[in-house]
Amino acid sequence: MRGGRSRRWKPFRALLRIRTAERDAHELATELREAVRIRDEFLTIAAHELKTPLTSLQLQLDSLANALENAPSAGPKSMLLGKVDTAIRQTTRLAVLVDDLLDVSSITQGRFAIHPEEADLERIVRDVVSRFSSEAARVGCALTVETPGPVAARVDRLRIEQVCENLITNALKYGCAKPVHAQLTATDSKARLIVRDGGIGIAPEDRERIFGRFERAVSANHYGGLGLGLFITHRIVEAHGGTIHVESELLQGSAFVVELPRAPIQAEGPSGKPSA
Amino acid sequence: MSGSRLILVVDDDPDIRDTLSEVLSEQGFEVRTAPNGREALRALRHGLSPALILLDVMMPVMDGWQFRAEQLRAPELASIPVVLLSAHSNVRDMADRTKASGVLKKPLRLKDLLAMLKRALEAPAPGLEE
Repeated sequence: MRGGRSRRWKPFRALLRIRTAERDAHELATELREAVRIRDEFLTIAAHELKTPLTSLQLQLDSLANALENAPSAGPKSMLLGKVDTAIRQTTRLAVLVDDLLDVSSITQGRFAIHPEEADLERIVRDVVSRFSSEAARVGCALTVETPGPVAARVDRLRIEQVCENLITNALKYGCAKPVHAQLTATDSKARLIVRDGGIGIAPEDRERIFGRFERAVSANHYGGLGLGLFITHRIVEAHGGTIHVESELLQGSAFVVELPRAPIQAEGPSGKPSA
Repeated sequence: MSGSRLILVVDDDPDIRDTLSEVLSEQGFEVRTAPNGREALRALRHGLSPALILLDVMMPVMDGWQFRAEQLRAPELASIPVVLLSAHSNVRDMADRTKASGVLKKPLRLKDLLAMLKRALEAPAPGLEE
């Protein structure tokens, strides 16, 4: 009799186990979502907090550089200017890292938005290249730019500047001190930016992966950085209705190709594209 | 503009206030500071007449949005140009929404600050263009 009763209860016990497992999975998923939300909120707050001391530090260093440039004596002045220049460069690097953390948390929270306006892509590309001239000289890269003349497009100027900065930063970083060339071309409907280096290149299996979050094609032990630059770049280009891909051969270099529509974009504002 | 070189810096962080005071003074500006929007409004209503206000957005007591709304409601204060200071990425959107003369993203460079001050002091305040 007891064995018969036990057999009758067996399906119910199995169902109970399934229900318990389902409830556990649901609770786990809820906890994970909450953990991600708390992490992103923390990243946002941390990034904001880090920017306050960075603001003071950067302004003080700029002021110090100005004072040194205007100082009369020649000897220790160039040595001190060199030190201040290094400190400014490192502070700028910190600021970019903080911005990247803030961007990635707004992308994952679906708060990332672009604000398009009429802009000249030639001017944007040339300005960014010009800003990178001293960094290129420092790492021994010849940095050149080629543009067809003014290229009007409706883009978020600051975000497209960020795309150019990220691509040139990578080209200088992985370019093995070989020449880096930025080329802008345009048709009536599209603009194309190619940033080409002659550096370490990217293996075929890594060419898609590098646009993911925290991804990199090289060991973190050999090259610094958070692995966020191309992820953010990809999202910015997507938000403009454009595309980005890389053409590369190992040890021969890479060419990152960005194509952007020049026509007005429909999706704008916080509710617009993209959201992760 | 009137030719005045007086700048009102409104920021809750004392280091930012001190640094901005210092670097702007070195550039020949006269600087006054306030730790939040309410103190800034009080100073303005007591006769402080700056050529420009550098305004942080996130502050306790009265933030930059609330300050800007109060300022634009007061005809005697509305014409003072405002440049926002923000750690947010969507700075352009912020300038449009507050009718500010410009926005500087923290952390900022001295050359960008000076260029922005020059532009804002030469142009009419956007708050009056309606």
